[in-house]
Amino acid sequence: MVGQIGPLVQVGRKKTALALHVLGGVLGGLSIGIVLGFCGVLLRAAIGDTLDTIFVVVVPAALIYAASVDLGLLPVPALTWVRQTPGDWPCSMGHYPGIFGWGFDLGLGITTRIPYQTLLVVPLSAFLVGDMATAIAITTAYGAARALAVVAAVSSAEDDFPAVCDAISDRVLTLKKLVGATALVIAALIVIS
Amino acid sequence: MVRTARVGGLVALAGLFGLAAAMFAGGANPSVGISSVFVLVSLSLVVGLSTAASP
Repeated sequence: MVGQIGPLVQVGRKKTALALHVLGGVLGGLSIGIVLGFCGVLLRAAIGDTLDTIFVVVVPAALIYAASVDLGLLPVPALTWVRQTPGDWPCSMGHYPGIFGWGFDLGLGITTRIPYQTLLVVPLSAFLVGDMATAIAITTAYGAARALAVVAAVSSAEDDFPAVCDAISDRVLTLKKLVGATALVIAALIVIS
Repeated sequence: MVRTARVGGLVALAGLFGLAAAMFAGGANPSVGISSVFVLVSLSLVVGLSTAASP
């Protein structure tokens, strides 16, 4: 995404483009949060407080599984799909709508390639929490953080986007292990809280 | 130095956003507990901030 959005923001107003990308990420996270939160509320209405027990069992278990895969401890194929954010959106939709659309698509989290298995636990927990506000908070935080990470990378690139992409690629394995380790800590915190 | 400060500022902004989101959700008294909400929002922030390179 940095390699795609970086050169584009050189054309036109850079701050506007990046702000639209963040807005798209926030709205993408918000949208999926509303959908998952609504489904969770329906599930809570159907099974009541049993959902809390399911949450405390399933979410830590999913986190441990995801962490094991991300840390390379569990040699199983990662759950993912091949779809990527369409690169032609700025051409087909227009410059700013395309950049907004990229943010929205990535903010949804589950419509593009899954880089870390731990990412799958974000929508799962938003659904199983069975509370609209919490689901929105979880997914919107994800959408905003992902968009802000792109903005941080583009802002720090100083027009040398291939170098930034290379630097990020070099750190992908480290980031994967960081995410996996965080997932283990979060699993423990949920169980003991 | 400027680059580090800029990236740090944006990461801090993401943290503040996550904190606000968690407080918003915590105000609704979720049955899983406010602490669980905070850790899940933290997870979202870590995963989100780690995926800048992903298409």
